[in-house]
Amino acid sequence: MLARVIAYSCVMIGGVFAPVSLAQEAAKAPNYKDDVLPVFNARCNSCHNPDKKKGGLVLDNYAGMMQGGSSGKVIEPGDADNSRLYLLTAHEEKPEMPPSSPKIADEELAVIRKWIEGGALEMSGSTTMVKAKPKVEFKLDPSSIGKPQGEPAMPQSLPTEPVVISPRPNAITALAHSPWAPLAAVAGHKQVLLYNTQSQQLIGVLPFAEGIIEVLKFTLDGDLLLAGGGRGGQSGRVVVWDVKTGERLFEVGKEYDTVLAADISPDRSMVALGGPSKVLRVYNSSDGELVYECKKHTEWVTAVGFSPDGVLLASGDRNGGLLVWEAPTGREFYDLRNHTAMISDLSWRLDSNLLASGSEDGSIRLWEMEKGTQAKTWAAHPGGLESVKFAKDGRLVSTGRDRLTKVWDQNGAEKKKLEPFPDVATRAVFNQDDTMVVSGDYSGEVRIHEVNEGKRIGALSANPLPVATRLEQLPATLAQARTDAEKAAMSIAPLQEQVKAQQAAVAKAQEGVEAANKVAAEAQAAVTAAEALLPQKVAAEQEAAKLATTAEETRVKTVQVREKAFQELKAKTEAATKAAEAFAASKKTDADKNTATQAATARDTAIRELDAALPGWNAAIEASGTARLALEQATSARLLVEAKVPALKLAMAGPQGAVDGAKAAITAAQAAQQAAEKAVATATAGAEAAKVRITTLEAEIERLKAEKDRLSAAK
Amino acid sequence: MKLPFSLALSVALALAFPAPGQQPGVNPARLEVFPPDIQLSGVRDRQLLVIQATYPDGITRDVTTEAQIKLANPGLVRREGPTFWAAADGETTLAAEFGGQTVTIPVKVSQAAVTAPLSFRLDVMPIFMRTGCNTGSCHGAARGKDGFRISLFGFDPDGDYNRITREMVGRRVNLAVPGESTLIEKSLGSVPHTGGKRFEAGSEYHQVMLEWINAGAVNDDASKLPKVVGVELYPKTIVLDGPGATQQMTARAKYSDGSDRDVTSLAVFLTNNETSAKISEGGLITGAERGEAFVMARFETFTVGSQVLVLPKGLQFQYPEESEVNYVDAMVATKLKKLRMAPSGVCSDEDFLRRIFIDIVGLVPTVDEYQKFVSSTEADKRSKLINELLERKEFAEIWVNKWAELLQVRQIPNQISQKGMFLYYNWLVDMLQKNTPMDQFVQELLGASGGTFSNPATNFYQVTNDRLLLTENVAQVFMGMRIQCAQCHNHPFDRWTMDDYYSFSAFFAQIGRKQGEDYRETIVFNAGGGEANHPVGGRVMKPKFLGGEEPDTAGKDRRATVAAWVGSKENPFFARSFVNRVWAHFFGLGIVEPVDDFRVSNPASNPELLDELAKRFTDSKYDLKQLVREICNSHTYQRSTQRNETNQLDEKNFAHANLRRIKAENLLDVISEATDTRDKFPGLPLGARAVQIADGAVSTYFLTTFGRATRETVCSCEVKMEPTLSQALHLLNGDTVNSKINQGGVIKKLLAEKKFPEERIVELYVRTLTRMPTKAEVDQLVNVLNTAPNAEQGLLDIYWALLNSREFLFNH
Repeated sequence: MLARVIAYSCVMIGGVFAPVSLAQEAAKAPNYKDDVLPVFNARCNSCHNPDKKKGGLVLDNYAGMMQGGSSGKVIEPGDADNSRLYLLTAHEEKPEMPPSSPKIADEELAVIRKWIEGGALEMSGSTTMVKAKPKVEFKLDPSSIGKPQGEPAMPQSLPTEPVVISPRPNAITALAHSPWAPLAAVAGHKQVLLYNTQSQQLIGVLPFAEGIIEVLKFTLDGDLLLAGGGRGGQSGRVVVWDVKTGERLFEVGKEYDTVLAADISPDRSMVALGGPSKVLRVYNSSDGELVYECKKHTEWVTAVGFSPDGVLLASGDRNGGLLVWEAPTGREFYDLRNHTAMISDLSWRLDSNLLASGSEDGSIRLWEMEKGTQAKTWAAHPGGLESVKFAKDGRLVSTGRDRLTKVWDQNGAEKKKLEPFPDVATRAVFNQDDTMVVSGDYSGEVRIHEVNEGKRIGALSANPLPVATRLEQLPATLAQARTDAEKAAMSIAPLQEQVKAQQAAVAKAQEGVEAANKVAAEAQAAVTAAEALLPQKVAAEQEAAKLATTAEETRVKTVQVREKAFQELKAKTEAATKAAEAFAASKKTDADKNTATQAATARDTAIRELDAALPGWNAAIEASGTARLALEQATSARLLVEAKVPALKLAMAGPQGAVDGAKAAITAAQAAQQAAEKAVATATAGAEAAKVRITTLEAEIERLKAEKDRLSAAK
Repeated sequence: MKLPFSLALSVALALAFPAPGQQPGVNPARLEVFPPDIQLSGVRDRQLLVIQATYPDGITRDVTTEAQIKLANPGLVRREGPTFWAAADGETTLAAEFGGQTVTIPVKVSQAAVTAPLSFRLDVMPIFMRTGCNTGSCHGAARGKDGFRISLFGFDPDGDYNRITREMVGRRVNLAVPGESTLIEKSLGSVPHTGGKRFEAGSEYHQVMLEWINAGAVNDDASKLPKVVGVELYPKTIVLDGPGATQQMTARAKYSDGSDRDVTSLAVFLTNNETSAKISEGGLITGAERGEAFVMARFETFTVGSQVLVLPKGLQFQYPEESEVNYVDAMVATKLKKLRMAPSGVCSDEDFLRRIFIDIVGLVPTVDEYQKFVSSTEADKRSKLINELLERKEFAEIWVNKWAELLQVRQIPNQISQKGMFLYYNWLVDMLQKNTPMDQFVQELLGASGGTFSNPATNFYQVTNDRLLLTENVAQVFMGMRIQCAQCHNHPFDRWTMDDYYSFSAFFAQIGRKQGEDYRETIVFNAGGGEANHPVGGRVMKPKFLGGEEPDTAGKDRRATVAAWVGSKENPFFARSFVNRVWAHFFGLGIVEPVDDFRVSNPASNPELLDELAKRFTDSKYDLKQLVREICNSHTYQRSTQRNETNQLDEKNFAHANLRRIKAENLLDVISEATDTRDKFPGLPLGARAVQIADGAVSTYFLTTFGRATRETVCSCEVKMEPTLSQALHLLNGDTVNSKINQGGVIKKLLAEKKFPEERIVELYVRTLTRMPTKAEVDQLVNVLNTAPNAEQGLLDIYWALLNSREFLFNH
C-alpha cells in the first residue's frame, strides 16, 4: 500500500525543504559542549541536574541528555520539530519550559535549533550520525489528480429559492469549493447554497431537511458534493448530490446525533462519517451498507478525511486523538499523538504523503505518512484553530478563534493574514486555482479574498432572500450597476485627457532637457577651450623664462667683458701715458719713441676697439631687460588662463543642474503618464466589468423571472 | 376560618402567645404582606405577592387568594392573580384586607413601557440553575455530561457563554433558526436528552432562551451589569396546621444598582426535611408529618431560608409550668412552645452528679463525693458543685484535649518534632488553665511569629504547608465553616464564592518559614511577599475577611490582621461557632450540627439561643467558665433523659437530655478510676490520664477502638462517638476491663472490710454508676452472691457486669 503512496513521488516540482548539506555546515555547526551547554547551564540545569533530575531528565551531560527523560527521548538529531526539548523550549508544546517563565532568548533558541538540525553534535570534532532527511517534499503535479474529463461541473439551472428564510444567518459551519470550477458550497440552515465565485451569484440551493450541515466536501473531480449533518441529539445523515443536476444520488448513515465529520472516498465507493457517537463508520455508497466501524476514538469524532489516493483514512476526535486507518479495511495504520485538544479539521495534501491536522490547541501539525511522524508543527491560531485546508500547490489556509484567516506555506511561514472577521473565523477554503480564499465566521459572514494582495473582492450570503424579493431588488441593483457603468465609462475620457496632458508634459520636459543640455555643452566647451589654452601659455612662459635666463647670463658675461676691456684700456692708457712721459723725459730715443708710439697706438687701438664693442655690449645688457619683461607678460597670461578654468567649471554646475531637473521632470511626467494610462486601463476594465455585471444582472433577472414563474406555477 | 382548636388548647397557648382564646371564625392576630414593598421596572418585571395571616395560637395561613387587594391607583399595574406587572409609571399604595386587618404597602412603577434586552448572566443563566442544568450530577460536573459542560452552579459565566455559543459552533445555539438550537431542543425534550425534559414548550424559560438567541445570543458587558447583592425569601416563619396545609413562598433578589426582581420563578427551592414540609419547584410548601423544616431558596450565589413548623392538625397541648433558671431555659422554652413540645423533667441528683462530673472533669465521682453531694440538703448544691468542679485542673484538661484535637497537636515527621509538639501542648495547657479569654488565645495563635520552640503557638503553621488547606482549617476551627467547596466553584449551599475563598486565603499567602538554629525548630515569619491568585483568570486577590471587609494590609503582617479579626466581635462567626462547640460538649449535639458546619442551608435549631449565648460570651470577655456555668445551671442541661409523649420525636431542640457514649479518653479514665488502677502512656508518667496524652499520634488499642481522634484533620468527625461491636467485644473480652479489675484490687479491699453483701453491692453501684441500686437489683444480686462459688467470685462477676453495662458506658 505504501508503495502506491510513494509511487506518486514521480514528478518533482520543487523541494520545499531544501536538504541541508551537513558536510558543508559541519565546520561551523554548533555543538553541545561549546554552544548548547552554556545555554542549558544558564536556563535549564538548576532543575535538570543529576541531583534534582526533574522529569527524569538531565541536561548537564551529553549521554544523559541523549537518553532522555521519563517521557522518552527529548532530542531527535536532525529534526528539531520532533525534538521534545526544542518544542517545549520554543513554547510550541506544553508544558512550556522553563516553567512559568517567558521563553528563553530567540538567539539561544536558534542555537538549540541549529544544533539539533545539525545532528546534535557533542563537540566540535564530532561527526553527525544522521543524514538530513527531506521531510516535506512535494512531488506531485496537482493538475494530474482528479481533473475531470471535459468541462468541470457547474450547476445547471438549479432552483435558487431558499428552503429556509431567516433574518439572520447561522454560524458558517461548513464551506467547500469545487477543485475545478468557480463553485462554492456554503452551509445554510437546512440547505446548501451554491455560489458562482466569479459572478458571486447564487446558482443553486440544495435542500438538506436533515438539519444543520456540519461538513461539506466536493469529490476530487468536483462532480459530486457531500454534506453531513443532522439534528443535535436526534439524528445524523450524509447526503451526496450530483453538482450539475442537483439530484440526490444517495444518502448514508443512521446516527442518533448529528454527523460532525464525513468524507467520500476518491473512487466514490465509500463514505466515512463520525460524530458524537464516538464511532467512525464507513459505508458502502452503492447500497448504504456499513463496511466497517472503528471504535477507538474516546470522544466525539470531529474530523474525517480520505487521502486523495484513497489508501488511507484519517479521523480526529474531541480529545485530540488522531488516527489513520487503512481505508479499504479499517485496520489501524497510525496513532498520531501530540494534539492536546479537539481536532477541529484535517486536510490531505494532494500527493497523499502529508496530512495536516488543526486543533483547538491552536496548532497545525503536518504528519508524513511514510513513518507516521510529525513533520512540522506551528502555533497557528492562539486560542484555538477551527479549520485548515491544503491548497493544490501545498500552501494551507486556516481559520481560528483569533478571528483571522491565514495563509501558510508548508514550512509554517505565514504568507498572508486576511482582515479579521467580527467573530470566530470558522471555515476557509481555496478556490479552484488557489488564487482566492472563501472564508466564513461565527456571525454568518462569508467573504471572498484575493490571496496575493489579501484584498476582499466579495461576499456571499448565508441566508439568501427569496427569489421574488431578490427579483424586486435586482432592478435597483441593475440601475445602480448601470449608473456605475456610466460613471465608469464617463470617467475614461477625462482620464485619457490626463494621459494626453501627461504626454505633452513629457514632451515639454524633453525639450527642457535638450535646452539645458545645450547650455551645459557650451559651458563645457568653454572649460575645454580654457583647459586647452593653459598648456600653451605655460609653454610660452617657460620659453620666455628660458630666454630671459639666457639673456641675463649674456648680460653678466658682457658686463664682465666690458669691465675687462675698460681695465685693459685703462692699463693701456696708463702705459701710453707713461711711455709718452718717458719719451718726453728721455733722450727721446727712437726706441723710446717707438715704445711711446706703440703704447699710444695700443691705447688708440684699444679705444677704437672699445668704441666698436661698446654698442654691442650695451645692446646685450639691454636685451636682458627685454627678456625679463617678456617673461613677466607670459606669466600673467598663464595666470589669467588658469584663473579662468575654475570659474568656467563652476559656471557649468548651473546648466548641469538644469539638466538633472529636466530629467527628473521627465521621469515624473512619464510616471504620471503611466499612472494615467493605468487609471485609464482600470477605468476601462471597470467599465468592462460593469458591462459584464449589467449583463450578468440582466441574465439573473431573466433567470429569476423564469424561476419565479416556475415557482408560482408550481403553487 | 376553620381552626378547630379547643379552648383548653388556647389556654395552654396563652403562655407563649398573650392572646385571648381562639374559636373558629376568630380573626388573625397579625396580617403581613410580602414583600414589604413592590417595585416594578420595565415590561418584564413583576412581583408575586404573598399574604400571610398569623393567628393568636401561632398558626400561620396563606390568605393571598382570600384577602381583598385594593390599589389606590389601579391603573399603574396589571394584575394576574397574586402577580403584579407594570402598566404605567407612578407611585401608589396597595392595601390588603383580611379578617378585619388591613396592611398597606407602597408600590412604585417605573419604565413601564421599556423592554430591556435580555442578559445572559441575569436572565439566561438563572434558568440553568433553576432547571438543574448546571448541577454536579449533570452538565455542572467537572467533565460535563454527554459532551456538554457548564460551570457548576454558574461560577464561570464567561466560560459558560463561550461553551454554549462557540465551543461547537452552530450546534447549541442556532442563530438562523433559534428554535432549532440544540440547547433549546434538548431542554424541551423534543430531541432525546439524558436529563429529560427540563421545561415546557412555551414556558417562560423557553421564551427567554428563544428571545436571547433571537437577539443574536450576545454576551454581557459584565462590568456594566448590576450584581446580585442579596436575596429575600418570604414569609420568614411558617407554622402549618397539619398535613396538606400550604404556603406559597416569594423570593426577591436585590441588585447593586438598587433594583430588585421577583425571582420566585428562577430560584431553586429546597427543603431540609422532605417528610415534614415539601416544597414544589414553584415555591409552594405543603405540610406533612409533624416536624420542623428549613426551606431554602437559592439564587445566583445566595441561599436564604425560612423556618417551617408543621403541627398535627388540632393538636391538644399544654406547656408545663416550670421556673426558668436563666435565659437558656427561656429561649429553649420559646422554641419548644412553638413546636408544642413539653420538656422532660429535671433529672435526679444522682443522674446530675454523674453527668456533671463526666462533662466538666471527665471522671465519675468517688464514693465519698457521691455521699457528700447526695446527703447535702442545700438548695443550691448543684450550682455549688458546678463551681467547685470548674476550679479543678481536670476541667482545663478536657478543653486542652478538645483544642489539641482542633489544632491537630501531634508529631509530624519533618514538620513538628516531639519537642515542638510538647511545647505546643504545654502552651495550650497554660492558656486554658489561666482561663485566657478566647479572643486573646486565638490572636496569639493565629498571629504567632517566631521559632516553634521559642513561641510554640507558631506550631499552628507547621501542621500544613498548604496555604489553601490552612485557610480551610482556620475557617473550620475558628468559624465553624467548611469552605472547601469554594476552592473549585462557588459553594452550592452557602454564600461563599470562589472570590471569598481566595481573598481569605490571601491572608496566609505571605508566611515565611526557615530552619532555626536547632534543626528541629522552624522559624515562622512574615515574608512580606506573595499573593493569592484566582484560578479562573489568575487575577490577584486582595485579602478580605470571610464575609467581612477588605482591610488595608499594605506593609502589615497579614496574619496579624486576620488574627485580630478572627477573634474579635467583628467576626460574627467566632463566638457563635465557639459557644456551639461548648454547647455540643454538654448536650452531645450542637445547636448547629455538625458543630463545624455552619452554613445557610444547615441552620441552627435555635438561632436566637445561639445568638444570645454568643452575645453573652462576647460580653463576658470570652470567659469559658462563665459560659459553662450558665449552660450547666440551666434546667435544659439538667433535664432527664426520659422522654415524654410530646418530645418523643425531638432530636434537636433540647427538650430532654440525651444518652451519650463517653468519649474514648474519658471512658478509659473513668474505667481506671472505677477500678482504682493507673495507666502508662508513652511519654507520660505512670498514672497519667488518657485525657493528658499530648500527642495525637500516640494511642492505645482501647482509645483507637473507642474513636480517639487521630488529629489528622480539623474535622469534628475525627472523634468517633458511635458505639460499635468491637467496642462491646473489647469491653467484654478484651484485656482492659478484666485486667483492670484484677489489678485494682477493689474487690479485695471490699472483702477485707467487714460489710454486709448488700453494702458491698451498693458500694460497687455507687463506684461505677453513681447511684444506689434498686431494691429489685439488690435482691437479685444478693441471690447471685449466695449462689456464687465464693464471695470474691460473686463480687467480681457483679463488678464486671456493672463495668460492662450500658449505664456505665453512657453519660445519661
